[in-house]
Amino acid sequence: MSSSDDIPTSTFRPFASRWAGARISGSAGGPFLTPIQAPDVVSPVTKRKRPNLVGPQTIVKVNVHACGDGFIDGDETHHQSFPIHKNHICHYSPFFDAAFNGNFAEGESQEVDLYEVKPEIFGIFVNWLYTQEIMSEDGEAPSVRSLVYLWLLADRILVSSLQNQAIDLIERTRQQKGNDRLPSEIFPIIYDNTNANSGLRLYVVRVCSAPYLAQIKNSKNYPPQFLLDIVNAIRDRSTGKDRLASVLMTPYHVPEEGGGGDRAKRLKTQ
Amino acid sequence: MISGRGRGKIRPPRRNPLGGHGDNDFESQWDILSSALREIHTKNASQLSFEQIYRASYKIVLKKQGDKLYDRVKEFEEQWFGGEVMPNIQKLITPNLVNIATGGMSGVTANERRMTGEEFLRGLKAAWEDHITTMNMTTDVLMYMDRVYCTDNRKPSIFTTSMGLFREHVLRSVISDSRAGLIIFDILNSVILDQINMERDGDVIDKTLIRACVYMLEGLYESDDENELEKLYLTVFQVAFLADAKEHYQKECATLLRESDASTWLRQTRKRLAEEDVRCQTTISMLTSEKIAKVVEEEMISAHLTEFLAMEGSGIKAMIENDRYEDLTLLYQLISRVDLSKAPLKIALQARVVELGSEINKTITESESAPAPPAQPEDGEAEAGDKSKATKQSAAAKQTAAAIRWVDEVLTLKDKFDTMWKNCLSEDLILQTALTKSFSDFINLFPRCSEYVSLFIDDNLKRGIKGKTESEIEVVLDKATTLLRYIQDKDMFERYYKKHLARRLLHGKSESADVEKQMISRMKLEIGNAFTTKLEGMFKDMTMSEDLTAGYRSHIQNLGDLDRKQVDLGINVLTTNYWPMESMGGASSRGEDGTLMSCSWPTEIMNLQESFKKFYLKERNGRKLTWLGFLGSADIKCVFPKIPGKEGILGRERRHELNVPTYGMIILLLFNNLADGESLTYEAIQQSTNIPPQDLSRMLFTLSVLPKARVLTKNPANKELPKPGDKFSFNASFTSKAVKIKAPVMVGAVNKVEGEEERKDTEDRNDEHRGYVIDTVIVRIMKARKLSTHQMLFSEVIAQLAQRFNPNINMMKKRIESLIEREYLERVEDAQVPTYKYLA
Repeated sequence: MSSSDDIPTSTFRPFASRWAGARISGSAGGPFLTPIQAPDVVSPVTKRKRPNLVGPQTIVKVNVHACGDGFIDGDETHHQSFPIHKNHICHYSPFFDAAFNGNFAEGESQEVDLYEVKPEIFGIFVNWLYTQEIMSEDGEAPSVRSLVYLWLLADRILVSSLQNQAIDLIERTRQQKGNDRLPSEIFPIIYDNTNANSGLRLYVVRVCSAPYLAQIKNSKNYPPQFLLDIVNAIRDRSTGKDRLASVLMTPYHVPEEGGGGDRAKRLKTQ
Repeated sequence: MISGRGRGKIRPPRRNPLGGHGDNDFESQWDILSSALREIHTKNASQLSFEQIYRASYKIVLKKQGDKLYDRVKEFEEQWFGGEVMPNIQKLITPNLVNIATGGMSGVTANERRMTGEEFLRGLKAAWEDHITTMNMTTDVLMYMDRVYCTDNRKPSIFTTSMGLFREHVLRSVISDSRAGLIIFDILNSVILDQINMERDGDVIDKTLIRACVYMLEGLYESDDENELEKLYLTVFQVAFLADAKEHYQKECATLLRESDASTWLRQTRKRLAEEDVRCQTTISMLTSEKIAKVVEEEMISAHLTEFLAMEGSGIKAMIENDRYEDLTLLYQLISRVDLSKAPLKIALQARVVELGSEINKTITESESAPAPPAQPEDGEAEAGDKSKATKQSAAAKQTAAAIRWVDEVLTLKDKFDTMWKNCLSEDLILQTALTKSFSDFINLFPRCSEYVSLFIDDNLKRGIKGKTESEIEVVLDKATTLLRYIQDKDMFERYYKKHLARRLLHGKSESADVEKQMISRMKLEIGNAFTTKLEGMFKDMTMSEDLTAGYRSHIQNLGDLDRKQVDLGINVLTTNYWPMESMGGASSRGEDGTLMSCSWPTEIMNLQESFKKFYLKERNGRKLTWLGFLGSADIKCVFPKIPGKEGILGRERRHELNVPTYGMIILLLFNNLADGESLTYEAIQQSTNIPPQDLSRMLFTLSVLPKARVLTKNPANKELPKPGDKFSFNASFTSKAVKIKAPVMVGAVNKVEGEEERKDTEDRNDEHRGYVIDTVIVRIMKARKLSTHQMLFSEVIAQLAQRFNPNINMMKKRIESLIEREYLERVEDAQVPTYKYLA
């Protein structure tokens, strides 16, 4: 499990492009054959200190709404407020860093209204903020479906290390179940909320294009693009005889960068 | 406002999370974004919800419309620059600014120019800082696009792109009314350079403002690759800055050369170097500090260095002359910057040392030859007659004094340059070597350096160190050692030193045996063991002699026959090899064939000699003792009976103790056997004593002409040097106020400068000796090699002898000829290059 302590940041270029390496490229079958990319040696690795609670900390508030902006939802479970230590959330998430430390309204009020996010998923994130562990309310590992939502949330608020922990956990859960399958209900969610090169998409395509899988049922859960990706993946793969035992996860990770790291790198006025 | 469709129950977003279709969705999200961007640019963002704007861009990217978003933002920025930023900046560009940038004369005062320039800089700085602030916020909003879209498509981040836009649309935008197609960047450069030049001329400028603009250039690159070596600061500004500085300092240095002196130049250059360094720290960038220093060094130091050094009255000559240590220090520091070998300084210093040294040589040579009578070959005459005594003696003393003065002046010069070297030249090793070489050069140009240095030591060991503390003596010895180091012909020095030392020892003139030994051990360190063995031998002889004298004395006492008129003997036994007999006065006692002529000793003395010889050989069988009449002295008790019929002093009997040289004693003893009124002829004396004629004449002169110890009378009674035909008799009417009388000293007792002939003698002897040394070295080399070319042999000989002297090539050729004659070597007949073969 990677911790966010080791975050490569390039410190000497005030306008360094925000991503040193390319994201995953190529078809779904490709990553197994592609050697793991060497870390970008140009950027020196500097450690940003993990936040702690030793000193008194400012508390900020995140109001999470499951509904879209402008809707009023009567169901209490669909909108909740989370008081969070500012140093923690800003350390891990550049999004919240920009919100709470920027010159927008949120910077003034120290309160963010976050729409179209399930509060229980956000709760997992908050818990992770303090523990670096992913668990649901009952202390167990969340369902694959929740993990997918968690990954999407982390993607949106730019917390790479949480994305990677989540996708690793998805793979582990799949193996523990012993049937190699992922619940098909997650496919449309993934395909609606990611881009073509997203690690999560590539991962599910890889899993679903493995040999000896049961037939596809529930066709309504397979977006056309997903099916296309699976077909291409199978066709591209030259050495397709291996039973999918375990998937090397590195190709599905996104490069990790620190929460505020992105922003810290940019030039400020004197 | 997004996601407008109402839903009863919240479900995860499905296929169309934007709740709409295609372009319409995009446009509605873009509306949110563009109005937000406008607010950000007009600094009204504090009312905006960051989450909302971010979500809008997030959704656009999820809908695979990142490229469209990216381009729209770019477009927005371009329009913003064109519509809002540039008009304000264009307004600040006055015709004057354009004039300056095109190199035309501005026709306004510096102050006005500064004001308009600062206005422009302030405007540009504000635009830049606004841009940075705005773009930081914009980038925050577009973070998801940067991370997902830009990375996937390998596009530069929106921040980088916007920096490029600033470069293209602000810095490189063409000035509206410009004739020459000037761009803002040209104006910026020329304004900054103009301001810097104002500061160079002594004005006060707004450094912080310029620093802010330079900071901007350091943050911008030639392309969006953001190559560190392609900062606009480096590629554009620095180039212009260095060119401008070069021109400025070229002019400044030319003016200094025309109107000022070297001292001003040094200070101005130092000031400029410091200023430019400070400028890099406070006004522009440290990236330039080395390069600008180089420009100043080239234009202000290297370009006209020789001209400044040669300046009359303030150049290097004057600096050394007048001890301008500060100037020299500065000069050294500046030259060290441009030339590690410090060649110009080195050459100038060396020339100066040789020049000053030659002057010393010249004045000493002149003062030496001018007042002294040209022919003074026989120093023994120096004290002839009362009247001439004063002048003549002082002439000789003057020469000695000249030697001491020469040494003193050389040492003073050395001190001067040493002080300079320590204080001004940072104890630079290259320069030290150069100085040492120059000193050695001019010292060895002075033909009498060996003699003078030895005399200097002699003088100090005789008198100079009296009453001095140990550390003061140390200083004197140090000086002597320093000089010794410079002397090339060490063998000449050895010769003189031996001579001077011999006299010091035999005449008991040495002030302190301890210091003598210290000096010897120093020489041992400097020149080596071989050099000092003989000198040490001389000391050993002296100690041995003391023991012998004491031993002999007690031996005589033990014999018990004290009734005899025993002659008390103090003896010095000298080992032939150690002592320079010729230069101690023994030259005249050698016959034509070089054998030592012995004088005839009186019986009393012969008895004594026999007695001592017996004593001496008792323990040292097989040794040969030779008695040297030309050395030593004797105390003689004389009784002058009262002269009848005379009153006063002559009416009484007078007893005197007369100290005369050994020869004097022999002569006087002859008169003991003479009846009153009888006389001896010169020839008779010569015959019975066998004293060499030269010494005899001199001795008789002392005893019969010089008044101090005129115990003999000469007939004819004139003041000429006694010669054959003269008659001598006992001077019964001798009077003296002193009871103890020391007969005036003959040549050899006092160390002084050699006369011309004597010197030639010394040189001849030295050359002769060198001949032997060369022989030895050649034979030694050939014995080892058996066969050697002429060239090789010569260079080897020179190398081996370098420590002692610099052998003369002609002499070496002669020695080889002679060795061939003596069949040590032969020429190899058919060799291509001249080659010699060793004959066993």
